[in-house]
Amino acid sequence: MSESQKKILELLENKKITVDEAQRLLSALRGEEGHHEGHVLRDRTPKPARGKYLRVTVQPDPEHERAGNVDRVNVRVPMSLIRSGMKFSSLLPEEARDKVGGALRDKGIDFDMRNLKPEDFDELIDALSELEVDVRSSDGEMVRVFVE
Amino acid sequence: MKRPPLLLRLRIPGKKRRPGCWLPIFLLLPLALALLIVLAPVMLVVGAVVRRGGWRKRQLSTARVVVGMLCSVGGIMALVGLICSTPGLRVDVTDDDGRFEIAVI
Repeated sequence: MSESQKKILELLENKKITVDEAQRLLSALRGEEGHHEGHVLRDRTPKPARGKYLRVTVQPDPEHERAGNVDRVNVRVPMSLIRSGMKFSSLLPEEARDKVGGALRDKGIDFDMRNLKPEDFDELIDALSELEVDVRSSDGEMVRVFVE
Repeated sequence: MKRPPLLLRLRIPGKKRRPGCWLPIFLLLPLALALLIVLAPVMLVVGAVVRRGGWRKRQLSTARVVVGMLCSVGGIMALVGLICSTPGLRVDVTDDDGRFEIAVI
């Protein structure tokens, strides 16, 4: 632990700063330290792979396929399309957002669209990269939702 | 880099087995642009009418939102961004009736 980190924790212990402030200072300090260490550190940390497409597939079980079940679904949605679609919501006028918020509250969902920022969209899309859903139905159909 | 969609592959299920067709969207884009320029004054008039009122309240509110979004620079940019994000989109559904396919290239 560096001297600066100790000082921040001491300030927090003496209640001279709040937990939020301490957190902000610590993260700023971490960023600064990373900056000082230079590009070597950045090169060492692997960048998480960003998915390009959201895929939804439904494949029949091979046995059912032989029996004549040909139902298949293959959907590929570019992540950039999802991102662009989400950006549309930020263009909604204030009154429309209030109405959407009110309708969601009526359904028991406490979600305020005004709190959504463009950075949040990127974070949401990045979080989607780790999404993987595999469901096998009773008739052998395999449903997969994943990002590639 | 984003680019506008060039081709649309469309296959609709039917009794006859159809091979599907390719629609050249790149030929439609200049037409759409020309239509947008022609319709711009009309949109302005509609926007003014919608702002002043006169229609039923619910329709008015919806129209105000749509016109407001489309008439703003941000709205147009977002729409262009949305259209330019469609290449790569593919929906392919096969069932007993046939195969439905939309692919944007």
